[in-house]
Amino acid sequence: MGIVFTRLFSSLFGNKEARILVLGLDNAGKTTILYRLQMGEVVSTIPTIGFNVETVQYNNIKFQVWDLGGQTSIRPYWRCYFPNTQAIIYVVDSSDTERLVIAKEEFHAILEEEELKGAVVLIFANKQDLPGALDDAAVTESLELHKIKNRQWSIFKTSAIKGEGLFEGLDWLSNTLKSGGA
Amino acid sequence: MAPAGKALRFFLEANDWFCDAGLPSDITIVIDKVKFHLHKVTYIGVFIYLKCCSVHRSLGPNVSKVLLATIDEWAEEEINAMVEVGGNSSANSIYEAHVPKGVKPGPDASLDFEHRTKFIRYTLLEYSDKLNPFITYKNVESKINHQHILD
Repeated sequence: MGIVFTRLFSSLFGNKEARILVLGLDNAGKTTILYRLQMGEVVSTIPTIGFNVETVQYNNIKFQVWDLGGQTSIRPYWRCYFPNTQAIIYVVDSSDTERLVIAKEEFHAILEEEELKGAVVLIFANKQDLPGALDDAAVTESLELHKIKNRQWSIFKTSAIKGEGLFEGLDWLSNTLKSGGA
Repeated sequence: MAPAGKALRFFLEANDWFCDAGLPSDITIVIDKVKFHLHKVTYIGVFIYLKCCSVHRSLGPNVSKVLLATIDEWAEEEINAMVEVGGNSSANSIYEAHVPKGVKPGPDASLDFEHRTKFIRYTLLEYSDKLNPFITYKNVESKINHQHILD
């Protein structure tokens, strides 16, 4: 009886679960974002070989957040994690203007994936604290986000170091997922 | 071009001066019959400890770029940067020339992130500017005054 009541309660009042992938080029700030969201702290990171996974409870949604390593040679393994993913957080180093073209190509390759057709996309224009960082409008243009079709997406200016913009992005994500997603 | 085994970014070869000058392409200019060869800026390639790598990554891609020896794919110019510098000791002899003994953190030093950042910022950003007079198009004449530094 207790279990039935708990289930009924959580279906009425949230506790939805969502599987999120955090993707992006190496040194975009994916791991820093993950631990900023989970612990509220800035951790010093080394390149991620493999993945980090943490649970983040926010707005009555239990996010299972997978942070996958971004090095060129391990990007092909991202696809192993695609099934059953509700959302992608794509992280861009806004100050790394040289590699924005590569960031764009990887991004659009992800959107082509059949297994991610139903996933909503949240883009973080990260490292706004660094000099020379492009703003959200410039990153939108560089990534050619206007080409996104049949999918809900949004972009936020973030600084994982300062903790700015991350939870605004998560707000958008939880609202979008609650209202049925893509 | 660069003398073998040296990481000098500013050097004399025969009667010609060479320098990494941050230009879009290599150029040669002549002042008082002395030739100045100004190169595009290239990478200074060195090996770093894993604990220091988080500091280098946080400085931004315009300052420091970290590649993993076994995981990353290296571009030819990145490999060349490692070869041309002539090893860590060669690069350290310039970037850490005025660092007092015992200050530099070792690979296992229990220094926190902040302390490592302080050291790396000092050697890489502040100090190196003073050491390697970075000549550009505009102040190329002032470079002649730097000759004594290299003598």
